[in-house]
Parts: sequence; structure tokens; C-alpha cells
Amino acid sequence: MRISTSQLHGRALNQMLDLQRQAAQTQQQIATGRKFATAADDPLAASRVERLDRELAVREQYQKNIDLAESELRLEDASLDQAINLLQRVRELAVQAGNPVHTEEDRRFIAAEVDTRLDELMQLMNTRLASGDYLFGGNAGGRPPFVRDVNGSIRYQGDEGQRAVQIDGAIRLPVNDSGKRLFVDVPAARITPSAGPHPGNRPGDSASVAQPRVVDQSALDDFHPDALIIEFRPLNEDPDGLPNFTVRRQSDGRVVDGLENVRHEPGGIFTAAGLELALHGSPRAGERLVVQTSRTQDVLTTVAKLADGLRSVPVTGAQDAEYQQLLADTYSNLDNAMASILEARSEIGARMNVMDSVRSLHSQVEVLSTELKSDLVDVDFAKAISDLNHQTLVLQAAQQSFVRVSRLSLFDAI
Amino acid sequence: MSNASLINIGLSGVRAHQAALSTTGQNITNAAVPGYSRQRVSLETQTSLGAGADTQGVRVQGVERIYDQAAVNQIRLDGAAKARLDTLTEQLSQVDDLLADQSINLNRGFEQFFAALHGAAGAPTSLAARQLVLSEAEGLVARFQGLDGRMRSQRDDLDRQVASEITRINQLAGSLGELNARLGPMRAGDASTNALLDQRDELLRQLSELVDVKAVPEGELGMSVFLGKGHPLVVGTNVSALQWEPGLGVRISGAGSDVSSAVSVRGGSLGGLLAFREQTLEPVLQELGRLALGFAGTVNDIHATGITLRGEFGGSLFGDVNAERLQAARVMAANPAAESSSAKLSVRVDDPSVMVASDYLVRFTGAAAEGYEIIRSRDGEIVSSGSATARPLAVSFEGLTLQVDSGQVRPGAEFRIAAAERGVAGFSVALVDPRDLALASPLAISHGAANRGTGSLTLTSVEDVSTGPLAGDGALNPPLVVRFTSPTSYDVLDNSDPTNPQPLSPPVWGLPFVPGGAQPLLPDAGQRLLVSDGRDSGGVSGGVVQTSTLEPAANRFGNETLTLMRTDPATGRASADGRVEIAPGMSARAIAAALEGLDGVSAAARTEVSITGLSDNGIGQPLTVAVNGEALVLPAGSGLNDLADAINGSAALRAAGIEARSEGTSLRLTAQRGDDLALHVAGDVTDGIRLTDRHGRTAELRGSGPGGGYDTVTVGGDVRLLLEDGVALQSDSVAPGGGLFAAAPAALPAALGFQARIAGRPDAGDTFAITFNEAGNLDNHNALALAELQVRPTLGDPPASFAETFSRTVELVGIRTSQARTDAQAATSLLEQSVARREAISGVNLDEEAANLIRFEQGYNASARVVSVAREIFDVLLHAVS
Repeated sequence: MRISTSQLHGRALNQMLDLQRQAAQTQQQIATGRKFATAADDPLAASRVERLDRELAVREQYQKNIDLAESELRLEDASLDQAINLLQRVRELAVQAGNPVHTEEDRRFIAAEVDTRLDELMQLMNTRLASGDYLFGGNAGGRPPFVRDVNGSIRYQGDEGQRAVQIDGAIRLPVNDSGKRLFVDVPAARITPSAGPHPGNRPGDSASVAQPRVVDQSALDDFHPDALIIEFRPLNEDPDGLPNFTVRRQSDGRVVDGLENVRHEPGGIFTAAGLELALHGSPRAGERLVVQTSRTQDVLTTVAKLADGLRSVPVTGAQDAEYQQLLADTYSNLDNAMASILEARSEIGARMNVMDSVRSLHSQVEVLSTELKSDLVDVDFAKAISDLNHQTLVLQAAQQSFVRVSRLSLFDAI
Repeated sequence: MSNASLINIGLSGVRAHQAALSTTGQNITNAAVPGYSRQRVSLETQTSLGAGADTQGVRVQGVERIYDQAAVNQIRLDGAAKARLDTLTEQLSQVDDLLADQSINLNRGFEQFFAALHGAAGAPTSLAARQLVLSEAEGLVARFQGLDGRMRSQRDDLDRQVASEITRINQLAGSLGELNARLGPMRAGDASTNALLDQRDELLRQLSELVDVKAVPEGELGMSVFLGKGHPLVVGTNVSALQWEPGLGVRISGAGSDVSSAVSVRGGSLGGLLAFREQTLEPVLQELGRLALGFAGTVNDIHATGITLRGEFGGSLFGDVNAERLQAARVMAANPAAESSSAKLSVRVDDPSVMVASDYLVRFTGAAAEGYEIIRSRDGEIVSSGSATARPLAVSFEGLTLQVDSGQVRPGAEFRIAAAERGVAGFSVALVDPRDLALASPLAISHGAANRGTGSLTLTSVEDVSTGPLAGDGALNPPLVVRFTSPTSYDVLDNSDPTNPQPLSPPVWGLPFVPGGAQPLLPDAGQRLLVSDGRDSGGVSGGVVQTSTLEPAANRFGNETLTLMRTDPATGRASADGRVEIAPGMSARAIAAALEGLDGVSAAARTEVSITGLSDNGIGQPLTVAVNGEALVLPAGSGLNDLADAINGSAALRAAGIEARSEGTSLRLTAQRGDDLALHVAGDVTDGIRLTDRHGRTAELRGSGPGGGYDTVTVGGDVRLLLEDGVALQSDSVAPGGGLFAAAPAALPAALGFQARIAGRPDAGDTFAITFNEAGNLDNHNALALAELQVRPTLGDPPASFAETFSRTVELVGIRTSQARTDAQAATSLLEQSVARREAISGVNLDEEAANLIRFEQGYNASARVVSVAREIFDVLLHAVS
């Protein structure tokens, strides 16, 4: 074929430019360590790398979440461990208190230590997280979950919320347990009452009720699971126009034990459903109080009742049965509380196991994905360098041969 | 042979070789001129036509242009293809590089945003963690805007480039017209003609690099140039002009003419630019916008259902995608009729998950612009059309709603809808205070203190806080309680007074539960509730029969046919799908069981009647009340409480699900499963009870003593239906007040705006209270719901996560770029080949020219020698003679 002079130059130039481009690309691969810079260089590999990157980012996030969950669960576990120790000590004290040779003074000494343990226990249950939130308040982290109200009764003011952390696409792992579940809903040896204001009361309502005292356990057992609603009635329902209240059953609104329009005197005591109740305050008509009955008793109340009993039950033969009953209930309630905590701890252990296995799964997938990504992205240096050598060699040859060929001209000869 | 002729022969040789030499010189000097075709002098033997027919030397026949039209045409074609692909590659590479830029890569932004959300979910009260979410949200917005901004500036550059190429095409067309004019009077085979032809070929080559043209020879030397599908650009000396405007495309108009028509330009660099703009740049911009709208909309929807650290609903985390300003900016007038219309058009984004990354064109037709059609620009498909004179008008299509206000729309008006394309424009972070980040669920659940079962209730999701009990800030109104009436059935009640829960409206009672299972607590959105009116066809004392016989009679439900109507979501047409015949006296329980058998219906029944008075004269016969045949003898002096205790104490009645609840003045008797309640009274004539049914109708029952009236009553119950979306109930009852059901009973939405999951084995009487989350600042339900979006397939069909959606765009651009690169390489080598072919024919080889130079010089010398020999001969002859 005929070759024109400009074609000779043009073609050689194009070839050299092409070789140069190839060499530059190889050089860039070596310099960056990556096989391709943008998706266009290798769309298939790039899209797989993008998918792997997304996967890795998500897994990394899950790993972080697991670390977080682990630290929270460890804190909870440690707190529960300490709670068990305290309860164990209280149980020892209760056993000690059962010694018949103890005098009232001995009992007071024991009561003093029980009080200290109670405070310690309460402090523990009001443990705070590093963030300053309360650990055992459920989701209500902003206020101490366990408080003692004006009548000395202990109240749980957290909620039943359980926070979870996403540790895998499909697994949300709970990282806390509410104080209600751990310390409040402890099966009790017997039906126990708890009293408080009705949730529908208006702000400023002053009625309150002291911790009810059980005077007739079997009447209370019969009454359970119903609740008492104590409602302050309009003054005109009393013959003398004085404050009065009516006690009704929650289930059907029936008046209990004929307690209808009973005259209210602050601190006055009356009995209903086997309970001795004392109402305080100067309530307005419409205010209500609720006395719930429950098969559970919170552990602080159990301990407080022990201390209370140690102080108040006289060391006389007649009251001994009541005292022995108290101790027996306390043993059983403390055992139940410890069982409930141990159950929670074993659940925490199970969660930790889940975390560990999920973590190792994430790690394995991460290693695999990283390897896969490396295969797709990383330059094979041996190959790249030998490629570069080859390319520069060819380029050099092309340059030299071009110079030789282009130097030839018939015009030089004439 | 004459001596003069020898001189002439020599002279002709000198002249011919001189011409050959000058042509060679021309070739040598033009060797580097693009488009130059080498020339060759064609010589021929000069013959004398006179006597003797002697050869008479040589003659220059002409200067031949060594030229192959096919090769030149091929270069034009290949050049156009290469220019197109080079431009495409260059433009695509810009986008490809941009998408690979890690500083504006959206997926890194998504990752960081979700990582911050996970962090905040782990520490919901930490202001620092919350602030990080807002900062990362800002970062994500910046990435979107950076990417969008750079794509837009690339589009601006591209538009300028298109404009300048159009100018260049018009210039080249003008030059071609001029060349045609100059070539008109000339003749082929002339050296200057050859130069002009070369020039014209070169202009055509340049033109074909800009746009695909077709050159058609006309006459001996003329050439017409056509664009696209035969639009004339240059015909003879007539030259047309091209114009271009974004969105309107390329148009051509004859010289001095206002009439223009659209041209589709495919080849050349202009074709490449336009193809890139239309097929890559605009779709990518639209995809980005769709992603921004989808992300902001989805996140906002979830965020709005959570509550902040202040206990208020979250509202928008990102700027409202349907701000009025944005809605109006999505519609633009696309023709003069639209510009002169007074109506304001706007577009609302309803469901970004089904949005399509495309513009739309809406066209109003008809004399009153009553007809409309909405065309998807991407593929020209009509997505919605119709006819409506009513204004304002709202048309929904593909996740959007076009709104036309009451202003006037001119017939023929066309508007462009650029919802996706403008998606990034309104994308911004609306929250400032990290406390306003709604990470918590608005609901808290507590298990009843006296629960005996092991049931548990957990919150699953909150869907709607604009209607239902969650509407209004900072409250669940009313608070709710779930109460199990048996291990297999539960009610959801208004818990405003926790000591006395009341039914909701519409009532949600008798929902079934499988002990040990796990199921959604509440009806879903779309499901509707319907409770029978409980009237009978006589319109009196419904469902109640009074007799004076001892035998309990049937209730008074009459014949009634219930038909289930199902609406096909595609056609909107309702058709009958199953029916239930109510026979006279059928119990509500049996009716419910029959209805339960129909597809899309779940039914429960319950019978309730109140005993509001009880009288017993205390002497003579004792008052005996029989409930469904179970006789209860009441001792003298008994009240309603005693009757209630007697009913509740009966094992047979308890087994039948019949309960009583009395507080002394009123006794409520309930058959939980909807059996008829047959009450019979025996005793003295003054002894008896007074009944009041759910509708306030009363009946007196008296003992059977002398003068006794009715002593037996049978009360029918109510049926509660839960209907799936698109299912309705019809009754054939025509009597006043209807039968058990009204003719077309109205069903009310059953969903409460949230969903929970009930599981385990609850016992009868167990309760679960659902309250507003007052103090749960550590609650992270909503944070988890938001963080889940990282992996949840959300947008498009098939649905993809946000990051995946973006990756698909990157992938698409990568594949296109790589394809364009490969094609461009192929086009380059094709062009090289066709250039080589042309060069092989028309190119100048300097060595060849050098050889020619030597050859022609020798020829010239030899010819000159012929002249001198002729002179010498002549001299010899002269000497011989003298």
C-alpha cells in the first residue's frame, strides 16, 4: 500500500501516544495501588466494590453498636452482681434476726444495718450511666427510678421501656432491663397491697394514703386481684357537710364493706379488704386514691418491711408469730428477688453470647469482604511492574525506530 | 520529418516536464496541508492530425486530482462517529470522575449520617450525639448540593459549548455556500478548481465532525448538504441556519425565514453533546433530585412520628419537601399559551418511593382546556389523562399530584413538571436544636400490676400522628388499655379513667388472639370497623322478644341478606363477593361466625343488656331470675349486687362466657361470645326486673302471678366487623331504621395510628396500658426506625435503599463511560483506517515526489537536449550547405 509522508508521521505519533497512555495508566495503578480510579475503568468491579463498601460500612457500624451494647450490659451485670451481694447480706441479717435470744436492742442493731443496706441498695438501683441517665429507670432516664414518698413508702417512677441496639440487619439487642422488671415485679410470699393517688387526680390534690397494713391476709387474698378506689365525695353527702369518702371496688364499682360517705379525719384509720388504711391530707371532693393488690412486692419494700418489723414488733410471745411470719416472708421474698436478678443476669449472659457470635460473624464477613475487595481493587504489583517494563520498552523501541525511519529521506540524497 | 517539428517536440517535452515539475513542487509544498489531494500531470502523446500523421511530441492533458470520493465520504462518516464518541467520552468521564470524588460521594454521606444516628440511638440523651446527627445531616445536604451544583455547572458549560458549535456549523454552512457559488462557473481538471474542491472537502470534514451531514453532489461541481433526516442545510448557494435552546432542541430555518422545524441531531460532537445531555446529564440530575426528595420525605415522615427531648412530636428534620415555594417552582410554562394562562400550577410530592426520575409535560386541550394529558418525558408515555372543567383541579400520578388553582388555563397550554430535577433545590436541614431531634417513640407500654398471664406487649411502629389518638402534641388522647376478656379475645379501651375503662369509638372489641402466638395488636391502616345497629326489621324494641311463656323465644332479628362488596383497586369497580343470609332469630354469634367465613372480614359478636331495676316484695314466692335457662333464686331482700354475684357464681354461665357487673344501681349482663341472652322471671306479680338495652330501650319483666305481663325476654347481640381495605357491607333491609344493619352501613377507619405486637399467653383480666411517653427520654425506637433506613429498600421498583439507588447511578454512568471509551477507541481506529485509505490514494509521499522531481528534471533536461540536438542538426546542415 502507498504510504503518505504525513500518514507515516501521524501513525507513528498516534502509536507512541497510545503507548504513553498505557504506560501512564500502569504507572498510576502502581502509584495509587488501585486497579481502577473511577467506575468507568471497570464498571463491573466498581459496582461490586461499591456493594462491598456499603456492606463493610454497615458491618462496621454494627460492630460499634455491639461494643456499645457490651459496655452497657457489663455495667448492668456488675450492678446486679453487687445487688445480689447486698441482698445476700440482708438475708444473713434476717437469719440472724431469727435468733430467739435476741433482745429488742439486738434487733435494733440489726435494723440499723438493714437500714444502711437498704440505702446502699437504693443507691445501687438508682445507678447512673456515664451519660448521667439512670440505668434502671427503663426509658425514663432523667429521674431517679426509686423514690421514697412522704409516707415512707417506696415508689418506682421509671417506666417499662427497654432500649435496643441494632447489632445485625435482623437483630435488635436489648441493652437494659427496667427496674420494674428486675426489682419491682418480684413474686411475693403473699398478696401485698400498694397504695397511691389515682392517676386521674388533678395537680394540687392533697389526699395521700399511708402504706397499708395487712390485718387480715385471707380477706386480702380473697379480694385480689381487685383494687380499692377511695373517692372523696361532695360535702353535701355528709349530714354535717364535712369531708367524707366512699370506698369502692375497682372491678364493678361496688361499695366495699359499707364504707360509704365515711367522715374523713386526717390520719383516721379504717379497715377494708383486710387492710388497715390511714388517709391524710385535706382533700377536695372528687379526689381519689387507689389501693392495688398484687402478687409481687418490690425488693426495697421487702427490706424496709424487715427493718420496720425489727424495730416495731415487740419481743413478746404474743407477737412472735407475726415476727416469725415477717421473717419467713422476708426469706422467701429475698430469695425470689435474687432469683429474679439471677434470671436477668443469665439473660444478660445470653445476650452477650448472641453479641459474641454476631460479632464473630461480622468479623468473618468483614475479612471475606475485604479480601474480595482487595482482589477487585488492589493492584498486583509484580504484574503491574512487569507490564510497565514491557510498555516502556515498547515505547522506547517505537521512538527509536521512528527516529530512524523518519530520518530517511530521498531529499537528503539530492 | 521536419527539423522544426523536432524542436517543437523538444519544446513540448520541456513544457510538459516543467508542468510536471511544478505540480510536484505543489505536491511537496502542500504535503502538510490537511485535506490536500496530491495532483498529477497527465501527459499524452501529441499527434498531428495533418498529413503523415507524425508524432508531434507530448502534451499536458490536465492536472489530475488523485481522489476517491468513497474514501472521502468514509472519512466523513467515521469522523462524525469519532467526534460524537470523543465528546461523549469526555463529558461522561467528567461525571464519572465527579461521582468517584469521595468528598461529595453521597454514599459516604449516607454512611456518616446513619453512623451518627446509630450513635444517638445508643445515647439518646447525649446532646453531643444528637448534634452529630444534625451535623452529618448538614454534611449530607452539602454533598447533595455539591454534586448537584457541579452537575449543573457542567450542564451550563455544555449549553455554552452547544451554542458555540451551532455558531460554528452555521459559519461552515455559509462557507460551503460561498464555495458552491465560486465553483459554479469553473470547470473540472483545473488546478485552481482542484484547490477549491479540496477546500470544500475539508470544510465538509470539519462540519461532519460537528454534526452528521449527508453530502449529495449536484451537477458537475455542485454539492448539497443535508442534516439529520434530510433537512437541507446547504443547497447550491442557499444556506439554512440552526438554532438551539435548552429543552426545545435543535431547530432549522431557511435563510430569512421565521418558520423553523425540529431536527434530530445524532452524530458529530453536537450529537454527542446533546445525547449526553439528554441521556445522562438530565437523568442523573433527576435521579439525584428523586433521591433527595425520597430521603428527605422518608426521614421526615418517620421523624414526625417520634418525640423530641422536650416531649413534642418531631416535625421535619429536613426542610419540608412540600413547602409552597417548592411546589410552585416544580411547574414551568413550556409554550406561549401556558405563559399567558393565569392559573397557578403546583406539584405536590405524595409518595417519593414510587416517583420516577423524569420530567413530565402536561398539555391542556379542548376549547375550555378541559382535557389534559400528562406525558412522561423520559419515554413519552402518557401517565394520566382525563377531562375536567372543574377548578381547582388535582391530578395524581406516579407519586405526585398536579394542582391547578381556579385561574384560567388557555387551550393548548403546555407546562413542564420538573419535580425530580428540582429535588435537590429544596433539600436542607430544618432542625437547629439537637433537643428537637425526635429519637423516642411517643408511646410507652406498661403491663398491668395484677396480670397473671405471661403476655407481653411491645410497640412496633408509629405511622400516623396527624389523626387518631396521637393527633395533638404531647398527648395520647385517649390513653388506651388492652384488656383480655378471655385468653383468646381482647378489647382495646379508652383508659382516660384507668379504674373504669370505656369503649372506644368506633369500638375495638372482641379481637381474636391465639395463645402462645404473636400478632399485631391493632387493625391496620385501611381496615375499617363496623358495628351492627342492632335494630330489627319491625323498627321497634330491637332484637328483643317478650313473651309470657316459660320457653325462651328467639330474638327478633328478621330475614336479612348481607352482601359483601369488594372494590377492585385497579378499576375502582365494586362487585358482590360473598353473602350471608340472616334467618329470623339467628344469634349474633352465629351471624358473626357466618360473616367470619367471608374473605376480607373478621367478625366478633357480643350481647349486652343492663338490668336497671330489681323489685322483690320479700313475701310469697322468692324472685327467681333465669339466665339462658340457669335459674337463680334470690333470697328476700336481695339487690342487683346479689344477682350479679349469683350470675358470676354460676359455673355454667361462666363457661358460656356470660358475666355480670353491678355496682348496686345497674347490672350489666354480657355474653362475651354474642349468644342471645334469654331472661325469664318467676315470682310474685310485683316481683320483677327492668331491662335497658344498648339503645336505651326498656322492658319490664314481672313474675307470673296474677296480672303478670311478660316474663321472658330474649335479647340479640351486636356484631362487630373488621373489614379489609376495599371491602364494604350492604344489607337488603328496607324497613325504617334498617335491620340488624343499615342498608349501607358506614364503616369507620379502625387504625389508631400505631401498631404494637402482642405475644405470649395473657390470662383473662390481664391488662396492658398504652400511654404517652412522658418521661422516656432514653427511648430510642424512633432513632432505630430512622437508622434502619440505611439498609431498608425504600425507593423505586424494585425497591432499593438510598445508598443502593445512588450506587446504581454511579454504576450506570461508569458503564456508559466505559462503553463510550471502548466505542471511541474503535471509532478512532476505524477513522485511522479510512484516513489511511484516503492517504494511500491522495496523500503526498515526499520520497515519491523526490523521485518524480529527479525523473521530471531528467525528462526536462532530455527534452532540452532534444531542442539543442535539433539546433545542432540544423547547424550541421547549414555548414554542409555553405
